[in-house]
Amino acid sequence: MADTTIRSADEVEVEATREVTPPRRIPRSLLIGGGIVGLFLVLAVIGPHITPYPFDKFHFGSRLAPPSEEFWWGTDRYGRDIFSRVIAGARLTVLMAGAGTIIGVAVGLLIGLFSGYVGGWIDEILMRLTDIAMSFPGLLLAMLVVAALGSNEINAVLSIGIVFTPKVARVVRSATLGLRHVQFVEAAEVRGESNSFIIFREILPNVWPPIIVETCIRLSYAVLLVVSLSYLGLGAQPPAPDWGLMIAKERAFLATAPWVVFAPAAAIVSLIIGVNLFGDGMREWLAARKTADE
Amino acid sequence: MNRAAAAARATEPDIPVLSIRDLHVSYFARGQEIRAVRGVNITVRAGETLALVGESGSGKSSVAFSAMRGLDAAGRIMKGSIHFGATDLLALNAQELRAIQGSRIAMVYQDPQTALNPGFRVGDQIAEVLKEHTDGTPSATRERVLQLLEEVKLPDPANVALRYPHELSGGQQQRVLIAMAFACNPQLLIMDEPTTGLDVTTEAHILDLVANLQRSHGSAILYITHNLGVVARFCQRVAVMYAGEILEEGPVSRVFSKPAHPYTRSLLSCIPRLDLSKHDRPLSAIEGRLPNLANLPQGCIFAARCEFRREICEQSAIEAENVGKGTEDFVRCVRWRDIPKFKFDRHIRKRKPGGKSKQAAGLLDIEDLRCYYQLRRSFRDFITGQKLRQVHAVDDIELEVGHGQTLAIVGESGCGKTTLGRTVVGLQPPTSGEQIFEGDELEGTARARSADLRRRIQIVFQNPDATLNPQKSVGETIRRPLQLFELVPPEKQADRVTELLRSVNLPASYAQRYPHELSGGEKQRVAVARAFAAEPELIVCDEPLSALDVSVQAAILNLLVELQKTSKTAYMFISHDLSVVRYLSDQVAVMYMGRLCEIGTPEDVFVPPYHPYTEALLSAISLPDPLISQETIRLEGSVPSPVNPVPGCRFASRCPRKIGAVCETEDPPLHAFGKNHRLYCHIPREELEKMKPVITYAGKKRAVV
Amino acid sequence: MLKYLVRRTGLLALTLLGISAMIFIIVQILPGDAADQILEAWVESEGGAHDILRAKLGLDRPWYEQYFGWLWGILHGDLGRSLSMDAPIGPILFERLGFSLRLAIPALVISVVLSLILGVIAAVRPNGVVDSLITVVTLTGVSVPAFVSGSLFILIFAAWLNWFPSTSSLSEGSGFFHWAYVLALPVAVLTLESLAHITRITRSSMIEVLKTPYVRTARLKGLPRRLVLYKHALRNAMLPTLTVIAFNIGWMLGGVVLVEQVFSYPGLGSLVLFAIEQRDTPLLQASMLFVAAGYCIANALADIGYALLDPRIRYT
Repeated sequence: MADTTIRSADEVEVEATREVTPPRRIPRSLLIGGGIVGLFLVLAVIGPHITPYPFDKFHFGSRLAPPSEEFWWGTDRYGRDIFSRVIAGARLTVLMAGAGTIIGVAVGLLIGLFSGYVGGWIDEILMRLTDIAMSFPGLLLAMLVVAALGSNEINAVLSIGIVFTPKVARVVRSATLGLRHVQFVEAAEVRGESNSFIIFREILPNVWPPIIVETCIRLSYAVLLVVSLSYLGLGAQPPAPDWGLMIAKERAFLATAPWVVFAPAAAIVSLIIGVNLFGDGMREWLAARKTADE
Repeated sequence: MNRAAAAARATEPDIPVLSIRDLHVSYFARGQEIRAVRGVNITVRAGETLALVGESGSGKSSVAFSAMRGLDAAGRIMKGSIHFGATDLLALNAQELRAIQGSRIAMVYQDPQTALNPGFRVGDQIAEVLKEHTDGTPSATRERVLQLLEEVKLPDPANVALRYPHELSGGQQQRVLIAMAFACNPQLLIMDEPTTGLDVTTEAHILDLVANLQRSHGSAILYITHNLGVVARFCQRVAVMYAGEILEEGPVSRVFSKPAHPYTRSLLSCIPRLDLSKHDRPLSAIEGRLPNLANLPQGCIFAARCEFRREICEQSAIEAENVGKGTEDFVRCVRWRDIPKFKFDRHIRKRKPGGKSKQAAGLLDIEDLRCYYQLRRSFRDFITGQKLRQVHAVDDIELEVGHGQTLAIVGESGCGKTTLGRTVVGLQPPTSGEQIFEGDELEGTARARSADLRRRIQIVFQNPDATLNPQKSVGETIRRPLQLFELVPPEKQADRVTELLRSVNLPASYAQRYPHELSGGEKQRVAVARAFAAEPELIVCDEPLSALDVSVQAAILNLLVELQKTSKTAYMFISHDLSVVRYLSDQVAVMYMGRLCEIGTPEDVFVPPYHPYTEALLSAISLPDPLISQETIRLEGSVPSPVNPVPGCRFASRCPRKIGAVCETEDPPLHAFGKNHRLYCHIPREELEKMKPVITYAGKKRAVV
Repeated sequence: MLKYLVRRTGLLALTLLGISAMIFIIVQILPGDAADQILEAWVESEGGAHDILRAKLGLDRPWYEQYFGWLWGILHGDLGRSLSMDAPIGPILFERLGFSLRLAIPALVISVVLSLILGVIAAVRPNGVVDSLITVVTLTGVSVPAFVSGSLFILIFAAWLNWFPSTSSLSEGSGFFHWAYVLALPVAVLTLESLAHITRITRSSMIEVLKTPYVRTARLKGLPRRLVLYKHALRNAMLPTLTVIAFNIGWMLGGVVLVEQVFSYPGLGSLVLFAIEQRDTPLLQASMLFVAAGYCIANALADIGYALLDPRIRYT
């Protein structure tokens, strides 16, 4: 860098007065939530390989066995090791919730950017359509879609994507609208930049914060939807080690062998709490970053 | 202490209404202590107005809120005492404090729109104060509310009382807040930038109103502002604050004629004035930034930016030294006796008829330009059959920008000046009319124009925080026009960026920075560099200074003048500030409701004959010079709706010089004075020529220009 | 305001039309048609029987005739016939709706009242002890799916403590106390979840509103804290809360599926599930329309409430 070797006196002074911003404190909820989510991600990758028993192995001698050294969290009515099933099930839940969220966010993002930037009648029509799609409670719409397409994991993922798309589109659209007439976008228009340059190079980098927050919210709903659909028999099918499915199938033994429900319930709740904590922390962090920038 | 006792003590004669001693206020954020106010002493007596003046970050608002114990949760009073009359405000408990707040001490806020609760009728919001602090019956309260609204000169008080805040204009909202403040005859009124954000004509009204109310109620006023013009016009004493300390205090007449502190001197000489033009001298800007309040320097707080600093300034704390008699006329500077005398360079010019007629050849010709836009007809409007509503933002404008010259467009908010600028750069397609740019007709939208035409017309926007993409580095931002218009080969672009940064007085290292690391002034410099990167022939500057502090504003103005000299780029400079326009422009166009009122050189426009609207504007502005005398011409009412406007002269409904029905039925004719001075008005030429100057130096006859 | 009402109602009607179309389209995608479902019972049906049944059910008509026929019927109070129960849908639907409302209304009332109070208490001292406690509880509330909390409630209060029944069948007995006894657990589950959502939004919007200049104005007028909080701040903080309340109404109308399933309760949600399992298309169409309409009406009411609270909306 040739130009940095010669520095005028005033430049040095300007450097010196540069605001020293103290390090940004990362919210505790972001750390804890991130830790929990990270743990489940690791389980999703290696879970099926580290279980003490194959998740679908029957131990007919020890049906509904209470937690013991042999079966840490007990067994279910077929004598399958619940610990192994919960660990192995992480992959399914994480994959389904993640894939559903990604579909919803990706499609919603494109629709929202386009609708918000182009405006006019196209925007009006797209938004009326999202209004209609959002007039169904999420779970019911997902149920309807799964009913139409057939009950399996793929369709459950698709249905989550369909439920999320209009909501994400709304969020992205309002963020885009907020930037539509901001001066740096207008400056690009005056320069004569193309639509795609303005949408993807000027606007998109600035809508990431609301998109990230929305993605976190969606992710927690996605987990809820996944386990609820499988609980209702509209998602993964037996003998998959799905947490919702496990609760649905073993609930009959709740009174005598509560561990059949405890373990998957604990897994579900801790994953969703983790995602929610992560989302809350992320929102707090992004908001703090924004105020620090201003 | 009960309410009555507090009130009684506050009214004892020799005791000042407000006395603040050695006040220290700190804010705590992310483990840091920001020492926003340090060692401030303030005394305000009954019937007196003390101005607390300073730029952003000076801590003036913290003092104001401390004075009524109204700091928010993040701010803490660390040290000092605050006495209201004989009452020690810091010793009161919450309930005792509440009895004083809103009744004996009241406050008027900066942004009236956000200071009023959007969910309640304004009458109820005023009545609330009375219910809390007086024992009147409901009907007496209602009566008093109407009386207050009448007192602040709101038309039709009974009707206004029933309105919600959003149904009132900014000026009307501020009147409501003033009525609320005077509801219980406060002994102390704290006004925190009450006219910032209002148009000059509205500001003039509000200041007149407060002055009258103060006379009749005998309140003491602590007036917080950044506007030295308002101080000169409205206040008796002034305290100049910088970075949390009062650097100088004294009677307005002394401080404005013999400012002792280098900071006060720089402030006074960095403001453009109505008698100052770019041909006279550059403005004196204050270089550098505010010190970091979390890590204070030793010695004088202003030393780092002071042109007169010596070693002694930075060694130890600076004591206040008396300038005149008494402890309320002091300066906090060790060298104030040694530095050269301050000279206020007032100009009185002989007017040359026809102005400086060195009109340059035309660059941009605007003919009969109209820009109407329809309020968006939403799907819902479609269902309910809402009629088409048309805003006449720009209505039949004809003007010319000369090569290398500055044409200023001036007017109050809603006059169409911004729309006009947007039309020129192709952000707002015109409804009809022509724009000829050096022989080429300009298409309505930027995208329809050729790349070369787009390059030759650039824009600098108003809000420094929105003008740069926060996700792009300064280098990327400035490089983009170079790439897009293929002005510089890729390998030389970095050098060119450096060169451009240097031309706006920023170091080359700034190319790596992101907008959030820059101050407002620096962002605006980058925006100027981006505009100049395209090597344009015309730059539309849309209020580029209005969000900046005066000292920063001066630096940008100097920069614009400097760059124009070297590049011969023409400016279309859109502004509401007559002094700035006077300083920078070669031609001035005054607009009102989409129409042109008057156009000519500043020496033509700011002296008689005036358009009645120009005359009213000149009468309304506040100038930072106590020796100025101004005619009092106040416009009644507010700007009518630009939706489907009535025929005739647009200004007729508020014109103090309206001559009759003709004003409301026919478009005003053109009067040409000299070569370049055009004026659209029904008043006969002879009458116009007899007009008297609005602004003169006391005792002089000639107009200040 | 009247103009706003008219406009909002018009929009509601349009949305309902769109919803009916969407339900119709999705249900049309369902594999096979109603004739297949009925004939499934007879393994070897004659080829002719299928066509005859299709004609009888009107399935041979073009789709638009079917759609408008369905709409026409609804407008005249005819919701169609259930295939699996072989009975008119209308009475079934209204009976189930009644059952669902008995769960939803108490849950909604309790959760709205409680959460407004909790939200304000939490917002007054953000990050204080009370706020942290409320935050933890509500975070858990939004993170526990209804079927999990339902199962745990049954385990604790029905199986272990034996205070309440584990299933909420309504076959025998009547009177308020019986109802309260039977419905306590499902209502508690519903309340917990909706309480958590509404408290969270009330808290965060209250925190925002408490930072606004107009709240400061109210404070510096010398108004007592109670007035500042509940009159000036809460009124404006209610705006986003209203939207979430409307969302919860919708969720309760349809999302009770899970709760009803857990407690074997014969509400609207379990009817939808039943229709899906039985591939009873007319029943599915009608019950989905019911739920979505309920949700839309709740949203419209929330918007109108919004306009009442925020005068700026009324005139735009």
